Amino acid sequence: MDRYRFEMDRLEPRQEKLDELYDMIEGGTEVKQAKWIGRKAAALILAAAVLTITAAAAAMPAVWEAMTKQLGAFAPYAQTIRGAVCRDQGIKVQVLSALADDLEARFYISVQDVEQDRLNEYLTLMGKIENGRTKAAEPGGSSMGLSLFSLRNGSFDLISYDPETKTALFSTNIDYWEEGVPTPDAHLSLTGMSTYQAKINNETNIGTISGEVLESLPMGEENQTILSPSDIINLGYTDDILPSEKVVLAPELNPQPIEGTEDMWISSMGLASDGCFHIRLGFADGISILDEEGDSWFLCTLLPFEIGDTLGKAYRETLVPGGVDILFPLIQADDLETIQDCTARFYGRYTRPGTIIEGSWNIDFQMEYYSSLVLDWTGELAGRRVDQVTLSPLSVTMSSNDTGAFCRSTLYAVKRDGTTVEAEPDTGSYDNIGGIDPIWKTFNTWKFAEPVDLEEVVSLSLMGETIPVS
Amino acid sequence: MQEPWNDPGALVKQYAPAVYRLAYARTGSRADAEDVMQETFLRLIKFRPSFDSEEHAKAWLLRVASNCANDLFRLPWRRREEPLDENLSAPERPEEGSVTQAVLSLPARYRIPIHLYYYEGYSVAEIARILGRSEGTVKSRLFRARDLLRNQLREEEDGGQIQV
Repeated sequence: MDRYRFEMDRLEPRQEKLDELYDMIEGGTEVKQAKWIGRKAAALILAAAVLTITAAAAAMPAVWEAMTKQLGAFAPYAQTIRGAVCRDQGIKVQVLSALADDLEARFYISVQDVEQDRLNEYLTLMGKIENGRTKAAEPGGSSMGLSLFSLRNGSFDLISYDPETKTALFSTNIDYWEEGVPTPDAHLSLTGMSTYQAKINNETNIGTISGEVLESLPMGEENQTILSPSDIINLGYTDDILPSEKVVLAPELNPQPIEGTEDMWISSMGLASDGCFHIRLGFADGISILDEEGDSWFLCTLLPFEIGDTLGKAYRETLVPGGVDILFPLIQADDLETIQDCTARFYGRYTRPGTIIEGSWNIDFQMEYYSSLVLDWTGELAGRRVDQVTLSPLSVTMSSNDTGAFCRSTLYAVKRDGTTVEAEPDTGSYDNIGGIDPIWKTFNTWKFAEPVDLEEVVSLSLMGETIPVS
Repeated sequence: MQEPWNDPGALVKQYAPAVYRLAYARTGSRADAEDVMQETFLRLIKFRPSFDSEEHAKAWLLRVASNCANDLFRLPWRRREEPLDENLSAPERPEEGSVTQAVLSLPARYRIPIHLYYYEGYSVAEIARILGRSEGTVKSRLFRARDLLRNQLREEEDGGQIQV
């Protein structure tokens, strides 16, 4: 991100504005103060009608099954997207379904090779999905040639691959959060897809690490260091933390698999003769963590993050024959207690034998979403002031001055028959708008474990207190 | 003698650009960033907090700037101030393909953590304190933002390493 620093360094406020500030400080020119007021209460929004998945993808039963399995109890509330399909390079791309309220939209997309057999379970997509606008933006997106949408996501998660129909199923989502709202129009654009570039984001428990010093090999010319502690931006470490003895672990000393992949595995792990903790990974044939330009996008972190912040984020990656050796210079014999049974996360991109398909797949489509009901109720709840509560079949949001308890508390929707539906806390934000004397402006969200029929909900329950709904 | 970190004039000189850049990272608008900068220092004068150190002063200014920048998007008249002509907005927009443009394309809640992390060099714990959020929230936002940035820069860059 040096480029970001470089670009930002070039940004300067205008001198006249700085002069105004100096004048203001000196009590000279009176500067017109901007007006800062709270948000107006949102208008009451009607709940959308229930949507139903139909058999639109009957030709791809395995894909449909994977999607409905992933949707779980929410499948009946998802919407079939009709006619959102295009074809290029012998690849058919189709937006199958969406499940959305005004907090989040999740989309399901199928990618099918209708001419050859070029896809597999390592398929990745390049492109983005766009929808929504920020609440501050002009409705309708009168952005004069710029994108109509304010929100987008370029990350697509592969859910399944069906070799019989040569079809992959992906999901992606857009978060509207507090500041955005969904729009009826949406756009998917893909510029390429690849089975050559794979992604990994896998976690493995590393188990018990003994204090035994394992067989180590001196680093030679073939051992190219591709990442040093000083390359990991803003950790603040220099390469001086590296041990003076330059070694890597010998291969296959205590191999164990990495859950969810056969492309790489832990080949050796433990203390090397340099006194530091190493993880040596082995790679299957054809696997490389270097891309065409020789760059690496492969990272490792030891979890939980408490370890990651102090010890497990500083490391050196060194290429070894058939793998990579990861040295953690800050984890030495005395620190082994800290990392017993911790989790190693390997994440990033790598390449594997495969193909790259470039093309242009663009789909405009319409989507519906469940508009949240803004509850009439505001008031005190568990000693907090609650300014707004919204309720959709999928989620609950709350604006308040909570100082931290809401984000750890399960919320319940109480139905007419007395049964409840749990909603676990999801992402939220706590803004201190008071400076030294904290005044909290808090936005919390909860996601229901199963969809709720708003007609059936009589109240919400949080921290033992009740919010009336009807 | 007043310590420089409790001297508003010295703080303007030292940190106005940092406040401005943080605001720009959030708003994507130079005019808005200047408004936020002004409001931040107005609050400094109004509240006159006593700082323990230069770092304390800087963190306070960035926190207030972050809050002001977020509040800006709730102003009801803001929509009327949106440029009506694409040409008018052109000078405010970052270079096509720049990392700044990629950062500005992130969902709003990711931009300030990313800016504080990569530009200001704060740790996760420091960012959490500045923004008044949990470390877990900051970590998850940084993680998600980095993933989005990687994808985007990967898509837009035709070579060259951008380590995020």
